[in-house]
Amino acid sequence: MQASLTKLDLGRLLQLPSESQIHFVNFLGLALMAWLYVTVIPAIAILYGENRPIAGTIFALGSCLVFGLLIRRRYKEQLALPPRKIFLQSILQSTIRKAGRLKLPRLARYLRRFQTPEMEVLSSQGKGASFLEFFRQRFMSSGGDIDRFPAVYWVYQDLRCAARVVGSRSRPAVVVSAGLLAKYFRDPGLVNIYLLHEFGHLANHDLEILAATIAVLGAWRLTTLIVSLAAALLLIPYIDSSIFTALLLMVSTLWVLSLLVIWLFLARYAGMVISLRELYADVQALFACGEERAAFVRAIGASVRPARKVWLGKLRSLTSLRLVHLSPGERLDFMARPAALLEPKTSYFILTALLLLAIQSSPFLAGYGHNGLRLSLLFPWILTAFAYTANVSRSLLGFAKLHNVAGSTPRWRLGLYCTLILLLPVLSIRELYQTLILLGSGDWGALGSTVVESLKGMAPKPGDLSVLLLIGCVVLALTLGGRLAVAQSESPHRFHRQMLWIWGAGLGIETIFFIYHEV
Amino acid sequence: MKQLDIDLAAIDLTEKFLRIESSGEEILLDRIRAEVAGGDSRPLDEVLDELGSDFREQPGEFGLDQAATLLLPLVLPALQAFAKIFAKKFVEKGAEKVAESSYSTLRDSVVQRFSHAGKSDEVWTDLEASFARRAKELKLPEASYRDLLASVRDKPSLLL
Repeated sequence: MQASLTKLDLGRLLQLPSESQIHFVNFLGLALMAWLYVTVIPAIAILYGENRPIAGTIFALGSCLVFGLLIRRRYKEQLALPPRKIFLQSILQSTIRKAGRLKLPRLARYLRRFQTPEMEVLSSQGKGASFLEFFRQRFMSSGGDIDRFPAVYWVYQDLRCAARVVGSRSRPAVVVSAGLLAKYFRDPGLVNIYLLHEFGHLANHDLEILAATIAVLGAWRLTTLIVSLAAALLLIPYIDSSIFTALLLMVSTLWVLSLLVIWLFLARYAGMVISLRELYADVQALFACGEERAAFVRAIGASVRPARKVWLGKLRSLTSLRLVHLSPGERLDFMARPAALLEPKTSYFILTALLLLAIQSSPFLAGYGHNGLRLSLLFPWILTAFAYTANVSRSLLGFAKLHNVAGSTPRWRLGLYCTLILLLPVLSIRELYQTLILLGSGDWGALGSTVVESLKGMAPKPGDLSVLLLIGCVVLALTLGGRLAVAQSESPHRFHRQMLWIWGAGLGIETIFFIYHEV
Repeated sequence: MKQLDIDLAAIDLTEKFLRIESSGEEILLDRIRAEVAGGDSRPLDEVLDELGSDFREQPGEFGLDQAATLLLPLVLPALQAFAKIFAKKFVEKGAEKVAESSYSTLRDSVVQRFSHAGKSDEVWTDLEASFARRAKELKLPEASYRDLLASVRDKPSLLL
């Protein structure tokens, strides 16, 4: 591992806002945007368009209620300690036992792959006492908060070497597998790294982020299913043998396909938030292990998976949260290249921006004289804009504080990206969907001209408020660009306050512009 | 002899074997014993079936790439199979038959037999065959148990 990432650098890196928290905010914005796309906006647009405002309002409020209640329920479930036993898991467990008794070992083995083994409190008797004392010492030496001393659970059926944190910030617990517990008696140095990694999660306040990520993703999936079925039921009376039905089927198919794409992206992004959470727990562990870096490298890179397994894992992570870890090689690589830990991960914000653009250009928003509906998209976009500003702020501050880290993105480019991100809600491409359908006949020229016409329509005219907006954005970009010099002399708190002002000013400018143009 | 006695004897013998290797797996063995001998007693086979490395990975779990390499999944089923053979050959039918068979009788008989058996005694052949069978099931090499069995054969007093 590169020697440049000193303990001092690690300490400074940990003072910066957590990247997983920043991306969680963007994930939340994305999920809200996707939810508006799936449920509220079409419901209002179609039902208001059909002059059924009461039905539209009930539909929209119903989906709000379902989404909110599901998030609340899943979030509480995730933070419960000990975790609540899910009904399906109980059925699975009894089925596995029955399969075992009926001498069907292959079926039992297959089903066990879907089972979450039960955890239980580690007894303080016998060998358990020795591990608990080791655990207590490690927690204290890592600077853990004694008022939030974690409980220790174990899973005796699990022979892998694995550990995780569960519960909430105020009532945390560390769960270790039987394999890891047995390893402690032979290789305590290695188990120490595992524990430091888990304590890192507690220090980074990761429990709530994981719970909220899983809750939002699960709630979005279920709400989408419920609302789609409800919408299909509402459309049944309109189905006949006319051309309208054929069009309806085509739009519905495209709709379902778009939902699949959004679901994949949401799941992938949730995985990314979780893997960032793991990465920064690694940084905490590396910081806490001090001179024992060899043990850290041994724990992370103990065995490299075959390339085929790595690729399969990446494919599976597209659709589930089961494999969301970076590979050992990638994790060690991040530790050796601090610049990679500081650069803002702009591509994820750009993908969110593209989704916003796709929603804003939707005929649902353009039709029925309901352009004002676009205003509702500002709410999730505020989260994304905040997350991106925080990400850039973190990057500028990080590069200023970690003096020997080379390879920062030029300030002007960060300023430009930030301005573009803030400006995006005012952009929409008229007739984008109609043009995309024309692509099927190979008419690529139509897409280019549609984009150009939309941009021309947005160009500022003399006396227009757009000129003020443009000036505001240039000032914003320049102020942002000047932050690096300021960061070197001022405290991080002052720096963050100023970045918050820039974000607020940017949002203020775009909101005024948006209302002036659209409502 | 009842299956429960064979299971409990196998657990006690496994504890003695694991002590030789200082494997640190006694805590797991104690938990298995509680399942087999506890109030809601379950057959050892069922408990062993539930042990594994193929559980679904949980979000946020750390250390998936580290192999645990435990001895218990090899030793306990092998000794269970051996105890079954031993009970049939030497306790139920053989000269060592006692009026009241129990798991402690079986366990003590096995330890006694090991202590007095010559290098070519069939008890070693049975023990090695049980280990070989289990190692084959787990796709483990002969080296995974060779040293352990050699220690027991060379110095059976380790089991006392």
